[in-house]
Amino acid sequence: MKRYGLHIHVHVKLFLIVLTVVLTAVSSHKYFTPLAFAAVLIFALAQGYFKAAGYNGCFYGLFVGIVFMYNAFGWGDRIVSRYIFVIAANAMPSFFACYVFALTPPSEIASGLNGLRFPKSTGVAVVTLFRYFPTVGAETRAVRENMRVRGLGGLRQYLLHPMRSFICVLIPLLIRALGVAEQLSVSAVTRGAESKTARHSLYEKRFGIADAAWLALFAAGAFCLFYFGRA
Amino acid sequence: MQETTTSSRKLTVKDIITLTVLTVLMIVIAFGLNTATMFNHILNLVFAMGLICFLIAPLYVLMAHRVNKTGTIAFFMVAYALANTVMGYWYVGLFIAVCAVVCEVIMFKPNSYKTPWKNCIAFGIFSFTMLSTSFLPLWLFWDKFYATSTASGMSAEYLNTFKNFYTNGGILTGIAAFTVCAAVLGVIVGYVILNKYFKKAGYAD
Repeated sequence: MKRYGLHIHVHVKLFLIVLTVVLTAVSSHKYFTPLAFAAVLIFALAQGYFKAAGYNGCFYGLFVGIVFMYNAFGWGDRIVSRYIFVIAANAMPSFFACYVFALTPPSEIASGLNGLRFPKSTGVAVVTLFRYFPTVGAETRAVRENMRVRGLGGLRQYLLHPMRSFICVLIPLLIRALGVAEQLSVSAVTRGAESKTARHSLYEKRFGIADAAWLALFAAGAFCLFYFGRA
Repeated sequence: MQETTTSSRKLTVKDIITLTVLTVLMIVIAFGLNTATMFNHILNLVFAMGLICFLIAPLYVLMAHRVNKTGTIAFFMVAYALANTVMGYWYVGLFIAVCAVVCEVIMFKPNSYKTPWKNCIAFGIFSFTMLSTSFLPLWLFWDKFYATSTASGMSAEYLNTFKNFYTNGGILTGIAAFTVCAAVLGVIVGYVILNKYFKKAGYAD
């Protein structure tokens, strides 16, 4: 079978993540965060992720607004630390990029990483991460709901019996997590994750003009931010 | 008990998936608790890391017993390093990666991950590593750290509180002792949970 390049979505999204991470790590330019967030927002909208763009845009706006009010009214750090909102606003571009990446089907991510010649172990870990991470919140809520039904939930119970509450949340969550790990392992092995031979994928697509345009746009943006941020 | 031989010490796909799933849970707990304690400076700077290590230690014990292969502690430390890099602290990530290698050297012998005292030492080092990531940047390059932090929007008030806490030898020793003790206590609680629930249910041996 003839090998093609990366899947269009995976290629661009992976690049976007790496770019955002690198920029968050190296740039101290004050306009980095809003520019990076705007770039990810445009990308998400272009991909048709309107709901995700809306949610993340609202959160980013909320954090920036709170920081602005702290600065404008001189609230200081007496009641609630301003730092928490600054960190949240600064981390939003990275989280938003990861969020967009997580919306890609795991099989497409695997195909993309395979095409990028990532080690198999890294590919499996990344796919598992993006497959499992979005479900953690739902699973925690399910455990808490079960505790509430059995009369173990509620703030009073948590405060009066913290250790018991911790164990009541932790054990079902861990057993469920181990069950998920077993299922994913069986699925991965069935799909040839442990195979020594080269793997092929149904998700094969040529690198298109759109890919090149997005990459050029983000590379240029990254260069400008990095160059002027250091100047 | 199934003993780990030299030939079976390489991580399989199943091991990697188990490590990833448990690491995700650890990171969620750690970031959740860290964020929750950020509302108060003293709680965040003094107690947060100890509480985090205490709460994620049972997950580490389960992970160590389930996988029991070279690379277990390095895997989640590197994941933690990457998570810190995503948050913007690349130097923290680098430091954690170096400490991961040290932990792996300690746990190099077969079945080390099933030895309670070795797990206590390794997780104790991990907890100290996590704490070090708070004060090392301050010690090594305070000016750059201050400039970067204020440029990114942090208040001078917070940074001065931060500096006062982590440059006072007595306070710092107390914080370090609390963190490492909490981590070791967490491993002990982890073993109690492991023996009481997971071994009986057949999830670990």
